[in-house]
Amino acid sequence: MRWAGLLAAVLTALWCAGAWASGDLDERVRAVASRLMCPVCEGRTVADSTSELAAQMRAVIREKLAQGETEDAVLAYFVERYGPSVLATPPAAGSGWVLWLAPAALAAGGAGYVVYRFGRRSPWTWADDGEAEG
Amino acid sequence: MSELGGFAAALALALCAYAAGASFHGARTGSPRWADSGARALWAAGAALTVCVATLLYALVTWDFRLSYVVRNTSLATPLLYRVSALWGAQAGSLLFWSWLLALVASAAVAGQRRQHPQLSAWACAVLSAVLGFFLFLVVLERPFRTLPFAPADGRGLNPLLEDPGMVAHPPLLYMGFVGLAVPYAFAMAALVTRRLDAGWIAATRRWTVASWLSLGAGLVVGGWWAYRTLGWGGYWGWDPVENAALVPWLVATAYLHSAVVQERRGAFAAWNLTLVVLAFGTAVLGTFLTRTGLVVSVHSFARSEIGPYFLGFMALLLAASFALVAWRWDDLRGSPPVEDLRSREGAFLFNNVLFLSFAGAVLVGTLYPLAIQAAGGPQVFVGPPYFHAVAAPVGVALLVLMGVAVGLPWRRAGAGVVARFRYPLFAALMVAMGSGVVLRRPGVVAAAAALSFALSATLQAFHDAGRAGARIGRGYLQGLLEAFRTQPRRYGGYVVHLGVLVMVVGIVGSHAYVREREVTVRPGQSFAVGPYVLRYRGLEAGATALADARRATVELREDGRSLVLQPVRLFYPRWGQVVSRPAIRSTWREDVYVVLWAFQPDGSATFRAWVNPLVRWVWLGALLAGLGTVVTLWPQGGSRRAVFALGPWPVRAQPARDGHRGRAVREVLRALRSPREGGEP
Repeated sequence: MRWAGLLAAVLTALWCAGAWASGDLDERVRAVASRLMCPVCEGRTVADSTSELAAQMRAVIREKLAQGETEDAVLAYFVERYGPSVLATPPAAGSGWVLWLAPAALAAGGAGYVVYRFGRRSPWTWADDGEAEG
Repeated sequence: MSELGGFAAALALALCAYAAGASFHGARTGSPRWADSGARALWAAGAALTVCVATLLYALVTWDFRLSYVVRNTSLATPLLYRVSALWGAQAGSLLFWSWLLALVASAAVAGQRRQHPQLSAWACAVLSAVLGFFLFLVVLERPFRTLPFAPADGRGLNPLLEDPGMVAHPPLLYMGFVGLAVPYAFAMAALVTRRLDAGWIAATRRWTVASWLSLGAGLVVGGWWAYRTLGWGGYWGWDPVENAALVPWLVATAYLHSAVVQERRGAFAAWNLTLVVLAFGTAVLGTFLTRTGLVVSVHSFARSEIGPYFLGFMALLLAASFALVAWRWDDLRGSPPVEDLRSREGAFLFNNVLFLSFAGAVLVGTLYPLAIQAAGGPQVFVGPPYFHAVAAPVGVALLVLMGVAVGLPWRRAGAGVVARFRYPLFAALMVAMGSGVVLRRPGVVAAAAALSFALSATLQAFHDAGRAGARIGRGYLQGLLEAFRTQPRRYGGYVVHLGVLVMVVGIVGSHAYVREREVTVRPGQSFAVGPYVLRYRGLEAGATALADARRATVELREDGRSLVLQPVRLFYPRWGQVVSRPAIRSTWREDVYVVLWAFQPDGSATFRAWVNPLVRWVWLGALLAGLGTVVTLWPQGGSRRAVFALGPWPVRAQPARDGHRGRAVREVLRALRSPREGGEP
C-alpha cells in the first residue's frame, strides 16, 4: 500500500514535469500581452485593454512569436520602444527586488515567528488529547 | 433646498464634535449623563445627515440643475434608478453617502450596546464620533450642495459605464463593509482604554464584523460581475489598484474573523486581535482614500480632488494613536494564555493569519509600489496581474491545504492519532492529483486541484460526522445535520462559507488557466473559430439610444446542430467621447462564450474579440453559497441546552469517548441544568 502510494506520487510528479510543454500560439500571445501594460489606457494590460494601440501591439506580438522569437525578446522589443513602464510588472532587479521579495519575506517571517514562539519541541505522542469542538 | 442641505451638513459636524467631546468626558469621569448626552448627539448627527442625504437625493431625482453636483452627474435622459445612484457616483456625494452610512452604523452599534456595556459604549461612541467628524469635515470641504450662478437646461449625466445595475449595488456594499469595520475598531479602542481586554468587545461586535465582512465581499463580487458583463475585456478581476484597495481590508478582516474565534474560545491572541482590528479599519480607510482621491491610476478614478493631504494626516493619526494605545496597555495584554501546541486548531488559525496577512501585505505593496517609485522621483511603473497571480497562486494553494487541515484539528493539542482523520482527504487529494495530472497538463493547476479536493473532502467529512452522530443515537442523518446547524450555526455556517469558497476556486482556477481567446476581422457571412466553437458573423445594425450611437452585431453560434444568436453591442457616447463595448455572453456550467464587438468598418466588416472562459458560473455560484453560509453564522445560536441532552457535544459521540471528554460532557450537562437561562456560546 505504501509503495503503491509512493509510486503514484512519483508518477504524478513525472506527469507534472512533462506538462511544461508550451501552449499554442494564441496562448503564448495572451501570455506575452498580459505582461505588457497598454501605454494609452489607465491601468490595463495589453491583453485586457480595449484600445486600438493594444490591438496593434497584440498583432505585433503574434507576428513576432510566429517568426520564432522568444517571449523575452518580444518583451525587450516593447521595452525598447516604450520604456520600462510598458512592463506590467517590474523585473526583479534594483528596487523591483523589494516588490518580489515582500510576499515571501512576509510569509516566511510570519511562519518562522509562529514556529519559534509556539513550536513545541517535545515529542508527539498518542496520549496528547485535544479539546473537541462542543 | 441647497441651503437646507449645507446647513444640515454643518449641523451634523457640530453635533459630531459635541458627541465626541461629551462621550469622552462621560466615559472618563464615569458620568452616565454625559455619556447619554454624547450618544444622543451622535443620533442627532445621524438624523441631520439623513436630512442632508435626502436633500441631495431629492435634488438629483427632481433634476435640480441649480446644484453643480446634479448638473455634473445627471441629465434629463438619466433614468430614475441612476439618478438615485448618482448620489454615490462622484466625489462629494459618495463622501456624504459614506458619512451617512457610518453615522447610521455607529448610531445602531452604540444604541445596541450601551445598556449591556455602558462604559465600552461611551468610549466607542467617542471614537466613532471622532471618525465620523473627520469624514464630515471632508464633506463640508467638498461642498456637495455648491450652487451654480445660473441653472443650465440640462446636465452632463452620469458616466455611461456607471449606468448599470451592478454599479448601483457595488459602491454601497463596499462602503457598508468599510464603515462597518469602524464598529469593532471603536470597541477595540474602548476595550484598551478601559482595560476590559477579555473577549467581551469581540463578542459585542461580532455581528458587525461578520456583516461588514459579508458586505465587503459581496461588494467585491458584484464589482467583478459588473466588470465581466459590462467592460468587455473578458475577465472579472483585473488587479486594478482600486479593486486591490478594497481587497486588502477584506483579507485582513478574514484573518481577524478567524483569530477572533480563538480569543472567544481560548482567551488567547488578545493583543494580536487588537492589532488586526486596527489594521482592518486602517486599510479600509486607506481603501477609501485611494478610491476617492484618484491617487492611483485606475479605471475607477471617476473622481479626483485635493483632499489627499487631510486623508494622509488622518490615517497617520489613526494608526499612531491606535498602536500607541496598544503599546500603553501592553502589560495587560501579555497575560493572555499562550498557544500550547501548534498542532491544534489555534495553531492552524495562526498560520491562517500569517497567510492572509502576507497576501494582504503583498497586494498592498504591489498597489503602493508604483506610487513609492514615483514619489522617489523614479519612472512610471506598473504592477499588474502577473505579479498578483504569482503571489495569489501559492498563497491560495497553501490556504486550501490549511482549510482542510484546520477542520480536522481539535483545540489545544492534537494527539498523533489525528493523522487518521485525514485518510480520506489525503486519499482524495492523491487520486485527484493523479487523475488531473493526466488531463490538465499544468503543475500549478494540478496542485490547486489536489489541495482543493483535500479541503473539500475534509469539509464534507465534518458535515458527514455531524450527520452520522445524529444517526448513531437514532435521530437520523438529516436530523443530525440540522441539529448541528441549529446548535452551532457559527461553526457549520463557517464550513458552508468554506464550501462556497471552494466552489469559487474551481471557477477562478478554470477561468484563469484555460481561457482561450481570438481576435479577428470578418465580413458578413464569414465564420471564425474560438476554442471548439464556430461563430458566424451575420451582420451589423445601426441604432441609437438616448445618449449613444449604437452598433449591434449578430453572431451565430452553432453547437450540436442548434444555432444560437449572440448580439454584442458597441456604444459610442459623444458627450464623453467614450466607447463602451457590451459583450454578448452565452453562459453554461462548463464555460462561457464571450463575444465583444470591437470595431467596425464602413463596408460592414467587423472586428471581434471572443473568449472561451471556462467555469465562470461557478465563481458566482460559490459566492452565493459563501454568502448564504455567512448569513447562517449570523443566526442566533439556538437551543444549545436541549442539544446537550439530546446528542451530547458532537465529537464525543463521534470519537471513542475518553475520560477527559466524558468528564467535560457531564460537566456541561450539569451546568446547563444549574442555569437554565444560560445559553450562548459553547
